[in-house]
Amino acid sequence: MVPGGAGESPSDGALCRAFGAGDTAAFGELVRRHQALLLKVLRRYTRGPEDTRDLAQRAFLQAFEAARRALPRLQQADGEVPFKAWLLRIAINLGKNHLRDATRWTAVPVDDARSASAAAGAQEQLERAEAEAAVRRAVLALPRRQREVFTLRVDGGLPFAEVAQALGITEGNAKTNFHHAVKRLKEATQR
Amino acid sequence: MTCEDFELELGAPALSEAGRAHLQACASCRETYEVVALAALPEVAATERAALAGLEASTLAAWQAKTRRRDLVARVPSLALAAGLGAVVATGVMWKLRPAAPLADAPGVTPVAAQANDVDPELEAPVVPELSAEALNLSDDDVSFEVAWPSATEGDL
Repeated sequence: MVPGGAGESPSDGALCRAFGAGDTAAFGELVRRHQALLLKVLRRYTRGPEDTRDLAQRAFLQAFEAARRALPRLQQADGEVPFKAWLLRIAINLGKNHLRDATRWTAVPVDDARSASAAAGAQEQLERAEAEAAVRRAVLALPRRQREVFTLRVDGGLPFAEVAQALGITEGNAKTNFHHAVKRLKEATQR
Repeated sequence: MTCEDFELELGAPALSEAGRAHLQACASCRETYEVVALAALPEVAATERAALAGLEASTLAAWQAKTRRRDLVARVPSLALAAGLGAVVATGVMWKLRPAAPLADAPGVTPVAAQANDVDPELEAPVVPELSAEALNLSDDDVSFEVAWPSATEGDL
C-alpha cells in the first residue's frame, strides 16, 4: 500500500515508488490526479476530445517510463520524483508535435469551433469568435518558451513556481516570458 | 498594485481584491485582461471530460502491453545465447557419436594410404581388348558399296 499519513494523500514520488513495486492502484491514482490538468493543457493543441485523450495517454506512458528509468537513481539519492513536471513537459512537447503534424495537412486553425461565446447578438458573437480565433492563433505562433509559459499559466492555471519547475527554468524567467507573451498578444490584436 | 503585479495575477484562478480594484482603475490593464481572456480557452465541456473516462484503465492496459513487449525484447539476447550454447553442445554430442573409422594399427588391416603406395604400376595399366575383323565378326558380305561412273552431265552448272 502507498505510504501516507491519515487523511494525507501520498506524494507523486511515493505513488511512483509504489507503482514501481507493482502497485497498479498507485498507477491509477497518478492518472486520476493529473488527468484534468493534462486535459486543460493539451486541448489547445488538439482538434477534439479523442485527440486530447490519445495525447494524454501517451504523455502518461512516457512519464511512467521516465519514472521507471529514474527511480533506482532517485531512490539512491533519496530524491523526489518530479512526476508532474515530467508529465507537463512531455504533454507540451506531444501537443506541439501533434499541432505541427496537423498543420502539415491543413491550414485550418486549431479548433475555432470550441469558441462558443455567450454574446447577445449574432454580429457581436461573430466578432468575438473571430477575435478569439486570431488571439489563439497568435498564442500558437509565440516563441516556444513564451508559448509554454503562457499555456501552463493560462490553460493550466499553474502558479509561476510550478510553471518554472515544469519547464526547468527559474520563476523569474517564467514571469519574464509571460510578460513578453502578453505583450506580443496585445500587439497582435492591435494590428 | 502596479501594472506588472496585476499582469502576474492573470491566469490565476481568480483575481485578488487589489487586482480587481486595479482593473477598474487602469485602462491598459483592462486591455491586457481582455486579450488574455480572448486567448484563454472556454471551460472544459462535459463531452471533453467524458472522453477521459476510462483513461486510467486504458493507460494501464497500454503500459502492461508495453512492459510485456519490453520483457520479451530483453529476453531475446539470453534466448539467443541459450540457442547458441545448445547448438554447440549438440555439435559436440554428434561429433562424439559419429561412426568410428577403422583403426590403422589394428591387426590384419592395412592402411589405405599404404595400400595405394604398394600397387604395382603394371597392374594398374588398363586392359584394352584387341579388336580385329574376326573379333568383330565382319565379312565382305557385310560391307558392300555401290560404285557407279558419274553421269555425263554431273558437275555441270
